[in-house]
Amino acid sequence: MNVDLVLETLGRNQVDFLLIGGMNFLLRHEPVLTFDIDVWVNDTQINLDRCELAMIDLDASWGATEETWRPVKEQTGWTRRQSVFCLVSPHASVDVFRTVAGLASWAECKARAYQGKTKSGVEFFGLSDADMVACQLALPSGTRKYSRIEALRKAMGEIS
Amino acid sequence: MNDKDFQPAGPIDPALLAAEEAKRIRVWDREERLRVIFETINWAESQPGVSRNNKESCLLRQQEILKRMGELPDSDQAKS
Repeated sequence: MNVDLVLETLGRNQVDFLLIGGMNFLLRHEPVLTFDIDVWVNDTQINLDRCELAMIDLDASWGATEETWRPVKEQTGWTRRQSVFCLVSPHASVDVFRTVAGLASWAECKARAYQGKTKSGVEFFGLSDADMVACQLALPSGTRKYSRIEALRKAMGEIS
Repeated sequence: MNDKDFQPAGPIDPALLAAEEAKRIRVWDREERLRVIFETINWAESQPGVSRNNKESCLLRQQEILKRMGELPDSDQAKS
C-alpha cells in the first residue's frame, strides 16, 4: 500500500523522521480527510542525504519551479534549497519539512513522539499530541484546525 | 553530499508552503493525482479505527454537526 511504502522506504534509508500533519492525527485519533504524507526530517546533512535517497527510491519528483521540475534522481542537494518541499510520487504525495512552526527541536519532539504501527506492521514515530497542538497554535488563527485542537486536548485530558 | 556551507533551515514561511502545494498541483497530471489520492484514502480507510464509513462514526459526526448548528440530535431531544 502506498503510505506503508513511503514509511517503509524512509525507514529502510535510515531517515530520522517524524510523521506529522493530518495523516499522523488520522492514525492516532480521528478519521480526517487527508491526502498528503507530511514528514518532519531531522535537519542534518547526513539525514537530508538519506532523505534524498529515499525520495529517489519512491520515484519522487520536485523542482524549484515548474520549469525545473524533474525526478529527484536527476538532482542532488535539492533538500538544502529551502525549508519545505511538496513532492510528487506515484505512491503518495509527500511533504518534507526541515522545520515546523511552533516546534523548536526535532530531537526533543522525537523523544516525546509515540511509536505507531500501520495495519500491515510498518513502524514509525509520530508527533506527540502536545506537539501537534503546538503546531496548530503556531499557525495563523484563520488556518488553525480547531476541531483537531479540541480532539487533541480531549485526548490529553485537558478538556472533557 | 558533504557541503561545507550547510545551513540549518530557518523558520517556514507560510507563503512558501502554500506556493509549494500550488506548484505540485500544477505540475501533477490530474488523473495520476486522483489515482494517488484515492489510493491514499483507501489505505487510510483500511487502518484500524480510522474508518468514517460505519454507524458509530456517522452518528458521532452527525452529532457534532448538529451541535455546531445549534440543533440537538434526536436522542438528546427525546431526553429533554
